[in-house]
Parts: sequence; C-alpha cells; structure tokens
Amino acid sequence: MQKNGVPEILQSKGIGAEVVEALSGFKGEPAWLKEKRLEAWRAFEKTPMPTLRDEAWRYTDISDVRIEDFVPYAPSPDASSEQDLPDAVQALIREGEENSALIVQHNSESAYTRVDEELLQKGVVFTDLHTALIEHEDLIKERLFGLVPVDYDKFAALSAAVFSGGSFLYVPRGVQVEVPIQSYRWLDVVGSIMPRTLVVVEEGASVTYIDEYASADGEEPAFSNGAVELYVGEGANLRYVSLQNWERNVLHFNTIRSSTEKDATINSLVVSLGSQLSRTNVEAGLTAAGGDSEMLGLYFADSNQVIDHHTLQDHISPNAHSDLLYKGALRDESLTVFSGLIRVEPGAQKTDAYQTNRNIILGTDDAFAVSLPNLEIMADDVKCSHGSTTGQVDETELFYLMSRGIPRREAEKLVVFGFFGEVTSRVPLRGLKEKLDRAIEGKIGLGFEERVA
Amino acid sequence: MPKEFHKVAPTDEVAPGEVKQYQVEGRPVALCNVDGELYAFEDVCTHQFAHLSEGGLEGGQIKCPLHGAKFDVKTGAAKSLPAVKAVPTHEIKVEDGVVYVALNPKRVKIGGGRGRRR
Amino acid sequence: MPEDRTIQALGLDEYKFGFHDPEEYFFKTPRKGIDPEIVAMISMHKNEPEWMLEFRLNALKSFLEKPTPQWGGNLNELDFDDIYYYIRPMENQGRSWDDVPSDIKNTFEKLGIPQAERDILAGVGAQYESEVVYHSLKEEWEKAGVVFMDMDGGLREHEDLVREYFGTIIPSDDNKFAALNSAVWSGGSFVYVPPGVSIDIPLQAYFRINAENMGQFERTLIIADEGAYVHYIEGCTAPTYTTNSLHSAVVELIAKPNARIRYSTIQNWSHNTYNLVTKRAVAQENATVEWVDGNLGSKLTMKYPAVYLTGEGARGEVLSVAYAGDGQHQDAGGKIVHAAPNTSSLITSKSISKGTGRSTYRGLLKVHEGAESSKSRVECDALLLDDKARTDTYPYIEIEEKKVSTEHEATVSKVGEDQLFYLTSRGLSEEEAMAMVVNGFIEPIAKELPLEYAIELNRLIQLEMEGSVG
Repeated sequence: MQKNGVPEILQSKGIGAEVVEALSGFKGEPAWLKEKRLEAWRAFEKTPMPTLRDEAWRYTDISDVRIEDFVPYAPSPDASSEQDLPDAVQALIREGEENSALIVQHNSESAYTRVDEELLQKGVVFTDLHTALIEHEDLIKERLFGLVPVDYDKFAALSAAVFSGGSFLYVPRGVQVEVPIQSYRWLDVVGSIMPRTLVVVEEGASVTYIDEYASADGEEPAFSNGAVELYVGEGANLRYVSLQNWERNVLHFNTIRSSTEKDATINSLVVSLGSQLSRTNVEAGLTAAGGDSEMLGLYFADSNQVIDHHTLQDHISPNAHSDLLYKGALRDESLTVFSGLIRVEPGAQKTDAYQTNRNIILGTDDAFAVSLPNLEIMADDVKCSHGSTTGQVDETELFYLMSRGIPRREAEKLVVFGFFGEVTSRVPLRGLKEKLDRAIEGKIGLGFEERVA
Repeated sequence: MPKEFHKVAPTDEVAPGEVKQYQVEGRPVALCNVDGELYAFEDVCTHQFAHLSEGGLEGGQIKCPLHGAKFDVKTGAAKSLPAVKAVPTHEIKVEDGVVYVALNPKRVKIGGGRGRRR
Repeated sequence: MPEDRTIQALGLDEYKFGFHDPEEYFFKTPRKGIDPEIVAMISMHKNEPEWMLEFRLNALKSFLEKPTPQWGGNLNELDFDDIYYYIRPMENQGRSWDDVPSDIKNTFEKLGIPQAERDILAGVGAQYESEVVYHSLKEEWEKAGVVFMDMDGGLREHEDLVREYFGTIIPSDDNKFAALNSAVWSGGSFVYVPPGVSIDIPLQAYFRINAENMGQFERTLIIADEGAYVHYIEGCTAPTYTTNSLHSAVVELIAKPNARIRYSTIQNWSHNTYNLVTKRAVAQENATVEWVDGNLGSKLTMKYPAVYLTGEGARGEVLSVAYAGDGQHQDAGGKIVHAAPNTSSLITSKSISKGTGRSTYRGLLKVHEGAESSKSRVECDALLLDDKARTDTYPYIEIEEKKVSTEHEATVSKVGEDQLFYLTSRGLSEEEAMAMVVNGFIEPIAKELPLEYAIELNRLIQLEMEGSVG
C-alpha cells in the first residue's frame, strides 16, 4: 500500500476514537466493520489497564507500558518481488520452511504476497485482511471477532479497534494444501504493529500455517498487539505455528483461539523466544464432538525477559480430546509464567484432556518460574490430568553423557536440546525445527557456560 | 563498578513517621523517615505484590497493607509472616538537603520494575 | 497508636471505668453485628490485658477495611450484620433438643453417639468432660510440664508465652477472616510442650469440650519446644450443629528445632455454615509439621493449611480430604513455603463431589531463592460421582531456586463402572459398592487418622452415600 494518503493522525503518538475512524475511513471499510472497531475502542476505554492485582496478570508487570506513547500506524514500502524486501526478511524466508504461499507484513501494511498458482486453482484464498474484506466480505463478516471478541481483554480490544495488515487464509472444502503457508510480520520502525490472522479451513480440508514475528533491532520500545482466529471445519485439519522472535525492544501481546467442528483436528505450536515482554493467550475451543486439539509450547527466557503464556482447553462439547505440552527454559533474571486451564463444561462427557508444563532453570538463582496448571471440571465422565515440574538440568543425564567422554558444556547443551526435543519432535516441519535449534543454541550460547553450575 | 547515586527528593519532603514512594530508574522506591533518620528500600512486598509505602510505618518497621507482613526498614529483614524474604534496601546519601539513593541490584521478582538492561 | 489513645479515640474509656458488671449491661440481650463496642465488651468480659484489647481493636479495623474476597467460594450472601459475634456460653443452652434438625439427630443415632455428647455437638448442652480418662491424662501431662487448656485460660495463666507468639504466625491483617477472628476470638486451645517431651496420646479438644470450645471464633496456639512431639485433634467427626452461619477460626503452630506437630481435623459443620479458617505453621530446623485435614460439612469451606519451612531440613506435609455433597462447596488445599535449604514437602489431596457438590483444590508451592536442594511433591485426585458435580484444581507453583525438584500432578475421574460391576457381582448392593470404592479412594488419608476417627469417617461417608445410586 502506498505511503501517500495516510492520514496524519495515524502517524502521530496516541490512539483515540478519531484514530479508529480515520483508519477505517482510510481503508474504505464497510460500515459494520467501522462500527465493530468503534465498539472495540469503547471496550478498550472501559477496561482498566491490568495490574499485578488482577489474577490474570498476577506475575506480569505491565505498569510501565504506556499505550498512549505508541504511534498506531507505520506505513511500509511496497515490494513487487521478494528481492525488494529488506535483506533480513529475505534471510528469514530463506532459512524458513518451504512454502506454497507467502505474505510479508512490513510494519502496519502487507508489503508482499505470493500464492502458488496451484493453490489459486484449488480456490485457496490468501491475502491481507483489507484486500480480503473487499474481495471476500461474505467469508469474513461472520467470522472476524467471532473467536477473539472485541472485549476479550484490554489488549485484544485495542487490537480489534486499530488492527492493520493481517492475513486471511481460506481453504475450501476438501482441499489438501501439502506445502505450508507462511506469514512474516516484520517491524523496523519505532511504533506499533497490530496484525490479525483469520484462518478458515473448510470441511475435510487440510493446511499448515505459520505466523512468524521478527524485527530490526531498536532502542525505543515498540508494541506488537495481535489476534489470531482459527476456524477448523468438520473433519478438517489445521497445523498452526506461531513463532515469536522479536528483538528486545518489543512488547508482545497476542491472543490465539481456535474452534473445531465435528472430528476436526488442530495442532498448534506456540514458540516464544524474543521480545522484552511477551504475553500470549492460547485457547482451543472444543466446540463439537470428535474435536482434537494438540497444543505445544516452547519458550526460552534470558536476561530480564518476561514470557507469559495463558492457555485454555475449553471443552464445550462431549467426546473431544485435547493434549497440551508446554516446555520452557529460564536463565539469568528472567521470569516465565505458564497458566493453563482445562475447563470441562457441563455436559461435555467423555472428555479426554491432558496438560503438562515443564520448566528448567539454567545456572542461575535469579530466574523465577511460575506454573499454574488449573482444572475446572463440570462433567463426571471424563479423563483429565495435569502435571507440572520445575527443576534444573537433569544431573543423571549429564553424568551419563560425561561418562561417555562428552565435555560438560557440550553435555549440558545436549540435555537442553533433549528437553525441548520432546516438543519439537512432535512437529513434522524440518525447516522450522532447524530454525528453532539454531535459536535455542543462540540462547544457550554466550555466557551460558560460566553460568551453568 | 562505581555506585551510581540517583536524586530522589529534598530531605524535608518526608517528615518523621512518614513514608513515600518515588520512581527511580523505573523502580518503585520507598523513602521513609524514622525519628529523623531516612531509609530507602524497594517499595514492593516480598510475599505478594503490594506497595509497602501504602502500609503503616511503626517503630522502624514497615507493615504491608495487604497481609500484614513486616520488614525492618534499616536492614530490610522480614519480621513477620507471611513474608520470609528480606526486601532490598538502597544506600542513601544526603547532599545539600537532597536525598540520593544507590539502587540495590537485588530486586523483588514481582513488581520490582523491569530493568532497562539489554 | 498508643493504647490509651485507641481507647479514647473509640470513646471506650467509659466502659472501662464506668461499668462494674459489663455482663449486666451487655450480655443480657445479645445483639447482632460487630463494632468496637462489642469487641471491647468481649475483652472486658474476659478480663483481658490491655494489649489484647488493642490487638482486637486493630484487627477489627483491618476486618472492616478489607473487602470480602471475590475468589474461592461465593461469600456475597454472607451478611456480617446478621451474626452474633459473642454469646455468653450459658445462652447456648436456651436451645432445646427439639430444635435440632432431624437429619443431624439421625446421624447421631446411626453413629451411636451417647446422648450427653449429642447434646454438646448439637449445641444444647453446656459442659461435657469424659472425666475419668481426661483427669488421669491431665495429671500425667502436667507432670511433664505440658500446658493444655483453653485459649482464654492460656492468656490468663501464661500471658508471657501467649504474648510472645499470639498473632505472629498469622498477623491480624493476614486476611479478612483472620482479622475477624482476631477481633472477636473466644475459646480454642493453648498448648505448650516443653523441650524433649513427647506426648503419645493425641490431645483432643474433645476431652474438654464445652459450648465455648465449639464456638464460632475459636483460636488455637500450639508451641512444640525443641525436640517435642504432639498430636492435636480438633473437633470431631460427628455433625456439629450451630444456628450461627459463620465459623471462622485461626490456628497457629510453632514447631521449634527437631520438634514435630501433627494436627488433625475432621470438620463436619451443619450445611448452613460458612467455614472460613486460617491455619498456618512454622517449622524450624529439622522440625516436622503435618496437617491432616478432612472437610465433610459446612455450606462453604475455605481453608488452606500452610507450613512455612523456615529452618534447614524442615519438613511439611498436608493431607487433605474433602467431600462435597449437594449444595456444598469445599474450597480446600494446602500451602507450603520453602524458605530454607534441604527442606521437603508433600501435599496429598483427595476430593469427592456428589450431587451438585463442588470440591476445589487450591494450593501454593513456593520455593524461595536459597532454599536449595528442596524437594516438593503435590498430588491431587478428584472423584466425581454425578454429572452435576464439579471439581477444580488451582495450584500456584512459584519457583525462584534452580536446585530444586518440584512435581505436581492431578487427576480427575469418575467411579469406574468395571469396579462397580465387579463388586455388585460379588453380591454387594450398588450403594455398598459405591461406598466401598469411595472408602478405598480416601484410604490413604483415613489411615493417617486415629482408629476411631477413621472408622467414623468411613461410616460418615457411607451415610452420605445412602441414596446416591439409582
């Protein structure tokens, strides 16, 4: 999209109802959407900023987050080919998973989109949300804000009010997309990025979709605030990956929610490595019988990072299955929060739900790991369990490796890789796995040897 | 590393028996006056998040407004359950009627302010 | 605030000096609600030292300031103005046996409790002491220097000891209900066990049960000096009937180095009662504290016995069993705080929800920095007997130290049809089979109780299970 014509009010600090209206007007949006945005804005204004006294924010201190200091919108240069994209983004693409479709959101706008001809022929739609609203309004109107409502929380409300860019993926009935579809969110200015993902996988279709967040290093705080809505149709299959690897100046807030029709399957992997503060809500709505949700999480916090995941396995219908495994490592002065809830609604009989959280603390006593594995069970014929462990690197494994002649430092790395391997081995994406391995290696990297006791 | 002192307030801003909160380098600092002596400490309870300066100062001890945990303002030591861990104290320096503090690198893990360290 | 000023500020000095017989003035016509006047009158009636009056008045202030908790159970229907905060023991006798609800009478009958005890438990009798047993034991304990008396007596006869520890484990402003108890407490037990003394027979408040002891706001303080051992048993398994709708106790335990305290409770308050209790212990070097906590009665219980492991090598254990029947909510659990190296802990929770009952495990496991080589394990099992029943698990796990091992596990299940089928094929009725499965489920806790309690617990569960099938 062009730089020209962006209303001045969108490019200066502060967000208000005028900004919401200006943005909607600038995008030429239908009246219903403008009204939705304004409703979201009112919800944002009505909701107080969460504090440590709010249960859901008990450990994550955001008292120094000043939303009014952020510029709501930052334009991006158009790219007509991949070669026009910033070098760093090209590198991300090269090192990433092979893909059949690609969208790059550069700051507040989509800068580049490519979809393989084969997908287009099968009727797959993959575009930024604004274009989708013009070309496929009927597919969107019923679903946008359907899973992450405009008043979900303070941040989701803001994101709904001023979202920009974003992506829309539609896979029609019965279509199998073999090669993953990839989106990159790239930020290289001080300001904010408020992307929104809407995925609709129709009956019997299947697809893998990856959202990846990365940025150029910056000094001043930047703000990422998104929402992801995933609709999985009857018997359909969606693999969704969120890879958050922002630079350390970014504050990241995101809410991901899925719904599954009868016999649908969703496999999600949420990876949180970057940012200074990262808060992600991941919710699986088991809304029909036979639904199956695998929820994987991987996080690694260093220096003074705060990484917070709140998960929900929302069993609304009977005969559904969910299995969650979130594993995290901490070092230095970092804080991680895992708060997971299995909720079995009345009548959701024959529910099978499992939840596991494991944390390792590496070579420091300054880190702080919080684990809150919760259950709320309102039906009796269910199988539910959860487990949580926190400790240091397993000494027996370490000694075993060392007894095999592997130096201590190397052995420690292997143990950490082994720890995360339980998660990564469950994701059949080679490029992604390699990327994660490199990132974990980097995290362990410099300074780690001295710090591991 | 040499100690870095940060300006907080004029000495007469906190009267005997009083405690006030200041923001220093993004961290909440409580400054209190016990019989004319000034003490500074992290303004966060080590038990559960609360600002100690909103509680009561009595006989050299600050009492948390939330659950009644007490700390010695001079040493930071926990004096009453439900707190068991000391609150970090900051070194104080007075020059020309102005109070300066050198921040204790130790922090309370929740609410002690996120550092700007990168 | 100096004490005199407190008194004057509240305009209470007139009571202090103006009335020679506060009972005459005040207790003839007990009134509902709470204010400084009531608190001061309680203190005067008990002839307490000035510092206790001040403690009570400060606590009252804190109680009035603190909002009613909006987590846990629903407390919004609890009307603090509709409660008697102090009733002179004699007035309890105004009730007659006819007033006692028939379901409670039936349970007494089935448990085979003697009439004298029934009167006490139903709050219609004044005093009951199983004289012979109690007095011989009492002599033995006194020889060993053991103090075991009601809290009011403790304050009169051992003021220094009480003043040193009272309210130090649970400050009066710890929470709204601890504050309330601190303001209006009455009765409860005071126990001191001297160094090296081991009491083999459990101390039971039951031995010297009286109306005061069964009060709404009892207060217990137990100090086990170095190397001492004591097992204290609170209350009893039989239903405890009260017309008052609120029971709010505070229990403080101090286990000095190498000491061990075990504290057992089976709570069976009538189903109209809010049971909001704060229990906390400190375990010093190599000391052990064990809470065995059973919750069967009440409308809503909120109770999370805690152990602070403040000395190296200390150990804490919480065994919790909860049974939530129709309309009941048992919000129970345990808290362990590791604040010293080489400490260990275990929380085991078993809950059963039946009908519209709801049982909640709520717990905290905290490992402070420096509590290295600590080990902790939390295990929660919930059994659901009906499709309208509910169970929740809310564990808080906060780890600040890397050299630790912490584990938490929870499972939820329903009674297995195969188990029931097996038992009924052996000639048991469905009800009997269900009761047997439930008894098996709580067995790990029952076996930690003295035999007579375990038997009563099993029978109680059996009674509760009646009519649960079909």
